[in-house]
Amino acid sequence: MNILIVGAGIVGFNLAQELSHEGHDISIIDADAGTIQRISEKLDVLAIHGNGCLPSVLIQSRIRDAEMVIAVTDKDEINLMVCFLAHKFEVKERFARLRNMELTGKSQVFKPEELFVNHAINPASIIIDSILKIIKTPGAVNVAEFADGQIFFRGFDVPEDAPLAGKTIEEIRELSELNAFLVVAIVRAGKMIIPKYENRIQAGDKIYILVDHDFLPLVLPMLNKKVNEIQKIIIFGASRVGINLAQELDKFIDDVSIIEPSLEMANEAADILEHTTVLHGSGTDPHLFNDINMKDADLFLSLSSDDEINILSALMAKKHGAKRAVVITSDPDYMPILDSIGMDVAINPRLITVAEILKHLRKGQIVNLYKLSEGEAEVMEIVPTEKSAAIGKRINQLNMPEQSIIGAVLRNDGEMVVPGGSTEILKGDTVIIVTLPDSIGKIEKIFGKKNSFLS
Amino acid sequence: MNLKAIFNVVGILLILLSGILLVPLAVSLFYADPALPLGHRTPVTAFLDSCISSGVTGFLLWKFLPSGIEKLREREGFVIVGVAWIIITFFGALPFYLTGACPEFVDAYFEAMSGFTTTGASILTNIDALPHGILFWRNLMQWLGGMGIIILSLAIFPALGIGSFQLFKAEIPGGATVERMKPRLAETAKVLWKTYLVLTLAEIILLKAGGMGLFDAVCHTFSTVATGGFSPHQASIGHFNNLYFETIIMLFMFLGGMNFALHYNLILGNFKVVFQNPEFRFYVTMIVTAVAVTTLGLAYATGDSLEHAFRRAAFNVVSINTTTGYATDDFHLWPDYLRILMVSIMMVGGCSGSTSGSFKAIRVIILFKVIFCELQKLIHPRAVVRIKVGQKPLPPNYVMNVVALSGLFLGLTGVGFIALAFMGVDLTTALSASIACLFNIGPGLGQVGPAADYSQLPQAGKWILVLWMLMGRLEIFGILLLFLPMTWKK
Repeated sequence: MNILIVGAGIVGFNLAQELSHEGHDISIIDADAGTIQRISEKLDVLAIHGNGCLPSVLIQSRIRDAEMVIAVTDKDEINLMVCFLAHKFEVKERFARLRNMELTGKSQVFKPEELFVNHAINPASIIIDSILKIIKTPGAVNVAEFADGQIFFRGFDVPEDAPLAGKTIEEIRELSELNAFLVVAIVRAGKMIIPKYENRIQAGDKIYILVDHDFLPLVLPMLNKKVNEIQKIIIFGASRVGINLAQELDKFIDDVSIIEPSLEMANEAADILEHTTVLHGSGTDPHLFNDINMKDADLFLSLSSDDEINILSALMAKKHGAKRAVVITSDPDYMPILDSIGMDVAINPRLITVAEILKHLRKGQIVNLYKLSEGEAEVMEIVPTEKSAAIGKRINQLNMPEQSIIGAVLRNDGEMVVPGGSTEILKGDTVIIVTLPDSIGKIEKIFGKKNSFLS
Repeated sequence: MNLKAIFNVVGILLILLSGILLVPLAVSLFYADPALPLGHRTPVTAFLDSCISSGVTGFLLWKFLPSGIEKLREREGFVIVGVAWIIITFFGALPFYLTGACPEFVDAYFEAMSGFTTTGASILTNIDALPHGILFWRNLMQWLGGMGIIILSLAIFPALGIGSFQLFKAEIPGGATVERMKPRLAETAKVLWKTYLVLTLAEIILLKAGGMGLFDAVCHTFSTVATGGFSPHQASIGHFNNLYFETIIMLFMFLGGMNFALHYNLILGNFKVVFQNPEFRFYVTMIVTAVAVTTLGLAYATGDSLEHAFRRAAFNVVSINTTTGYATDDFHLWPDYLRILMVSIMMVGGCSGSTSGSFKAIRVIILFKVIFCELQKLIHPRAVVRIKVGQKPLPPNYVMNVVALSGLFLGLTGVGFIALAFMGVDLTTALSASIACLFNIGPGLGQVGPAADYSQLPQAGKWILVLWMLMGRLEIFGILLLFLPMTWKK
């Protein structure tokens, strides 16, 4: 498929890399000559320097052949303009990143479709969703949902006193009479392991599980003995995400505060927010932290637009007693070090946007996809086609690649099966697979032809 | 420097070369080529041995070294192309050496390098007497080298396409000026080779229709569209003394010197793009002017009829300007100012993205603009001037690259000239041989003029010219890089 990407920032670059790898023909436009130069040397794509709002530049970038346009410049206005022009060029699929909540949120005046955008992606609302999910799953550091919310994907840190620590996967399976969840990945010292029966979970690991949504409350105590209800949340940064999140939190958390260094923005936040306490001050000020009793905070969220200050502020907050810290960084290069300096959850809006767009792109046979930052593993939700070789076979007959695991099978009637070697794949099943990227091709082969949308 | 990955790619290219060597082998079998007096082997066994040795070496390199082309860095791309050309030329030279067509290995290597770089300089003295297989192989090498053997492999093995922009850029004539026509390099390489094939077939059919024998038609076509200049006849195109052949060959030399992206646009029907292309306009203007001046000059100097002078002028000017090097006339015998004119247009060459060698029209345009800009700055010291070709402003580092490259072309011409003169070659021959090889034309003046060949030069001089041809084809920087200690550091 011919795809035109406008905007070669982190999102544009990652999309171009990913999609070109998957066999699509990519053109990419950016207004910065240096960026374009770097891209044309790194990726096998057509990189054009110019203004994506100009029809001549779009024509040069082969928009007439394009079946999909993805507008991911850092300006909503430009993205809207690109989609409008793409509509005039009769491009069927038009994606745009729109950051302004008024264009995508609840208070929207126009639907994205009315603005010639088929799929509007708002990273802020995705981030808010995932933070809310994390808050509702105490202990979780990574969250996603599969099979229309039937199956939860959750990541946890394993503390010293966790009942699971020191047990092998086999022992855990025997122990959990409910048989309601499966450990699908272990991250140890920054390396991702797809576990086999004999692998042992150690304290300090991060584990990922797939679990039926009804059983999640029963599973939590096995992972962490004392799971405290979250009562006090402190947010740093009255950014768009900060304010909107605070509005949501107000509904079910008693004590929410928000710290903002800019008086102007603090005033604006105070105008919008009703229950939340708005504080004007620095995110690295120990006196302020003392004043607001940081030591009682259950959760500290660094949501400002400055990566470095976010990280510093979260470090300070943890030092002052905040139990857990969530950090947003827009630079993906920071992700690998955040875990080692004690950040509990790291969120990257850019990677989230990439994953969201890829999810839309791969709909069809691969229904859902979630990217993990470590080792760049992927969680795929697949509905095997009728012709697939997998139908009617047991899992141990499938010859699955080494670096992958079938984590859950959802039957037609909505029952989740925790798969073992003898589980049979039936017609109409939904299969959730965790895999390292090298094995994606093999998995696609096993579960049916590569879907036509991709080729 | 990721040497293992580099040789892995070279291995793939050698396997490709071994497959290609089957073609001259078949030709040799078909014509039942006899063995030459000085030969180690008959032509058939010589091709078979070359084919097997190249195939086995390639297979071993490819099989036992890890690939890693996706992770190659910029300089490694240049090194791959440079090393690959040196090694491929070695295997390409084997048939010449083994059959005894060139009893000295330096001569065989010279001939093969001249073939692959589409220079067309020959050390063979009695071409008509050589076996068909050898003659065919000489011209096939030019055809392969014209569009580039690495670009061919990109079109055939798309898996190489990831991370191979460096390779593409390092091999295509005109380097970074060449625009890709398709988002994917493999697709771009395919379009280039398909266009090239179409041109080739068209010329073969036209020459055959005019009554040329199939073997001559194929051989001449190969070296025409590649702007190479090897002919299976000692007297080159003059052998036929046929106006129709000259016209067809002239037309295809002209097309070969055009940017292949323009051919693609012609096929798509975008005539406007072609005629508005500044480089193409410069190319046409240059040829028309040079033909006019030469026609008048020849008519005046030799008392030739205007019509006959035009025929001689047009063919030889197009041949020299596109860096082909075919001759219907010995321009060494022309008046001095016309000889200088021929040498000057040699040093401009055809368009970027064409099969022609030399400095390329686009770079000459840029140089003129740089000079003009400098003048403008003298008049308005605070003027902000951007160098543009057509509507497109050029990035300053690219302009610098062109200026540096022109310095290198001139500097190396001088070095080659002095080195050859030092070995006792006369001045006209030394200067023109240095130019004709560095700019990939072929025939020069004096001892290496259109009617003579390179066989009389000293051995060391031949090695220098081999290097000069390679540098000219890969536009110098890529080969100079191989001599830089920094390149090989970890």
